[in-house]
Amino acid sequence: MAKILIVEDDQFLREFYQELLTEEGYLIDAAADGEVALSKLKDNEYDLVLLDIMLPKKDGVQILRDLKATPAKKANVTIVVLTNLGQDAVIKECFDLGAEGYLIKSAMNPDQVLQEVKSYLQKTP
Amino acid sequence: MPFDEEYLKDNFVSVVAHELRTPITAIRSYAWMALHKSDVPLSQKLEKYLIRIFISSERLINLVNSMLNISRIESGKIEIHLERVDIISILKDTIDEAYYSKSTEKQINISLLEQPLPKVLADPEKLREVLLNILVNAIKFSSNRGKITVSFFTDGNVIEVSIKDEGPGISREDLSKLFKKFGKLDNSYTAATSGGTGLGLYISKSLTEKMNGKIWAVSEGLGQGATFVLSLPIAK
Repeated sequence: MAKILIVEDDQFLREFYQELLTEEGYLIDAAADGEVALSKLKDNEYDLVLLDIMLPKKDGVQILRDLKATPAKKANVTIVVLTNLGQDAVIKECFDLGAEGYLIKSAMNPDQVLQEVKSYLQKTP
Repeated sequence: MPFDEEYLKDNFVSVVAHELRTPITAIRSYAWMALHKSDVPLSQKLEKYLIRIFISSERLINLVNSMLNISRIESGKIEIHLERVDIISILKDTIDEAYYSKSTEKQINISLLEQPLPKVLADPEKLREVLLNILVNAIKFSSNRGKITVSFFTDGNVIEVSIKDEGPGISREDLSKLFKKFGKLDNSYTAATSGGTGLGLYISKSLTEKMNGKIWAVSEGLGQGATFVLSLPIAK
């Protein structure tokens, strides 16, 4: 079963996505800040990362930048940004830094998030 | 660091909007979870309350998004990228999007009276936003099995897109308030009854004007339906 890392600082949302995806049978790991997320990515192999942007200690854009310089343990891990920040410049920067997708949390119902997760996992190498 | 003090100073409203969206998303997500994944059957009353929490949280999110949009427009921060755009193709996509998000349960019939047209000069994303807003309004105010007609007119300088519905119509007095911020109307198109924010048409007008276009509404009066017209310059 696919292993997913959720990087989300809001406790309620983190636990929500954890529960939603666990019920679908995925193996879930979670990080509440950017530094923990990076260290988990260096130590473990994930099939998919759901990455928030505004995070304590290290924001999502910096995480993508760091991974470009020093790749994660699974070098070609699929990273999908899941955030409420919708500025064009940030979206562009995330794609330039290797994000596969950019989802706006507040614009999606949970079943749409599940569909997206499924479809990104199907494309995962 | 993209979110340092300087960034926060310049993007205060964006950051506040983000901070607001996070708890609202949590409210909406848990209401959804309670409605769809509850391990006990919901009573009718509880289901009604949860649906109302869910709908209200969606309205709050729309309001925050509109606030952010207006702040970007009014501060001149919004970027408009004008290019040659095939308006029919954008309309087809937008009709699909509006139809699947709003009208399947109402069985609205949307007809697009296609004709060969030159390209317009517009920002495709912003144009899509304006058209979606008008179409979603038209669907919202249509009754079950209502009809919406999209037609075109050109004089060689501009293309006018008319979106005509058979909804409750707009009184002459209200027509003048329609495109104002929170333009409270007496009879129709009000935020309170429609679930809208009262900001959508103001945003549509502002975006259209940024693309050197015009937008207006015509209605013969209450009970007579309404037509929204968007006019954009032809790309030379």
